[in-house]
Amino acid sequence: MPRWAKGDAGAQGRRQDDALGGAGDAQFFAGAALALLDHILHSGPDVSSAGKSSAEPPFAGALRQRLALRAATACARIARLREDEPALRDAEHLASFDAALTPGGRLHRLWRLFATRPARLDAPFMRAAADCLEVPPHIDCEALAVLVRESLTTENPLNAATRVSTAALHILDDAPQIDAEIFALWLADLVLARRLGWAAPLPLLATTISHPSMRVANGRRPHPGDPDWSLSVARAYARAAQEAYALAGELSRRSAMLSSVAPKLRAKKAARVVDLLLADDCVSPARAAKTAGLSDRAARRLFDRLVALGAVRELSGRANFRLYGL
Amino acid sequence: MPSMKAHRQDSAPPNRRVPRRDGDLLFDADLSDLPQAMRWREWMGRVEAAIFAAPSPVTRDALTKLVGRDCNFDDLICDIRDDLRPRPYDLVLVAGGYQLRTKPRYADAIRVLNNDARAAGPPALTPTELLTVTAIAYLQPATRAELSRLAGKEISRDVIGRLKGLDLIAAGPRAPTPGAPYAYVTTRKFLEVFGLASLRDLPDIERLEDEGLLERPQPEADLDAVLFAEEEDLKEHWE
Repeated sequence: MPRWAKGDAGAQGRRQDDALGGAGDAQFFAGAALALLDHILHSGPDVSSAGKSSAEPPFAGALRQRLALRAATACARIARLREDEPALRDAEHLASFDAALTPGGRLHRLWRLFATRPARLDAPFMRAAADCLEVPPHIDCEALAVLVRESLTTENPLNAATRVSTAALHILDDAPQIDAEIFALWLADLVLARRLGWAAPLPLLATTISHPSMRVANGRRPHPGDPDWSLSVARAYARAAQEAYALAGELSRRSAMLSSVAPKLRAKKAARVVDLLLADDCVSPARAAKTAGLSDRAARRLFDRLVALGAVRELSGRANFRLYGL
Repeated sequence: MPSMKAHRQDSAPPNRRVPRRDGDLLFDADLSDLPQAMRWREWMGRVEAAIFAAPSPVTRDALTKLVGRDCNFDDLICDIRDDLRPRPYDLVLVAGGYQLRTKPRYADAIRVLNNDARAAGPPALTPTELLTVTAIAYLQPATRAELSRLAGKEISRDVIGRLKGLDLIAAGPRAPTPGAPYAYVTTRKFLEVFGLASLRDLPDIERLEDEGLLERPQPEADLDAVLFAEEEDLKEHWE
């Protein structure tokens, strides 16, 4: 990422005493970072042809789910749950299909919705999100869907995200305040992605909004009801897009490495496992075995081989119950 | 007390202004022909009656259909609560809906009758079971080993089994430790019987946090004192 787009001397370092200049700076850096990220998301199968294709890069799924994990971790901290990033990852990837969800696991599912369901702007999709948050069942999902569709007519994608997150709070009046806030962040990402023409949203705003550098006056974290929420949104998106861009760069190198060693794999159905790795934050050997129709032992050996070839990493740091990812 | 409920339902409200509700179309929620004060009383009556007659907590959304659009619902609920202050029952918000429950101090009187009044509060739990379910609520997801370490004694499978049978807890994900034990989480029923709107309403959660007892690495400190301190508040509610 070019230095001028990072704005180290600009919006990031400066306190927001000069609100107007700060807002202009923040919007500029958010725009620059989002443009670069947009370039990556339209790079198609080969990253060197960035921006020229309409398809997403092969690692888009891994990028989306890893950002979902970051967003869920940040939200769990906002909601003051006990679960941290490794715990959320374990809860998602080691649980059997019929296990009850933990409070943090529900938040994680909310952000994983972006990848696991087509992001349609209708009431059923809003309902699915509301169910993840366990907000009261009578929340008017139709009104939310209408609100989201209305926001799409706003000229500026950042303003659309700001508007939808502020307006959603009124519809979510009955929900506990923290859940309403998280829902608003989710809606902002949904609208921004749609306005930028991405195939599916990326969890961005929630990953940085609670970062210490985003704090507004009197040291609070920004809240969608704040008068200067639009400035906070711009600053948070600038930072989130920069971090997502860095993550995309890393994943792009790792996915290139993975595809370069893929022909060396002799296990049957190895291609299927490679696809799984590119589509998610991490994969447990059990899931790989089930999806690709391998035996448990074959799946373990395949992952050992991939690690030996330097194509994937073991993410949990444990000797058993391992989780592998890019 | 189903019998009592039926009784009060039968005695029709003295003021039968409401057209018969054979079709929802005829139901007049706005009551625009009444003076302001009478309209307010009527709305209060409707909301309380609906909650009284319902078998489970009634959501706010359902209740707002009974009152006019220009009615401030929160004020209405406050007024109903004020009215109920001298009565032996109370309007409470549980698991996302409103419900009428007898005040805890009448639990003994109701129990003496030994009819089939349904306990809305927690079922009779032994101290160990209470400690276990409380610890799970604060620390979830928590495995049996974690809970045993916390309680300072073995939490047996029977305790877990009984809590699961009562539908207060459920098996969540499996912990990545030898044996892949289940980590347990609390259920929606748990919120309902303990009268909590959400997990964030657990008592003293801020104090426990400030003292660092809810951090992920297991604390060495003994939680018993803190966890048992609230036992007094957990007297049964009856409905």
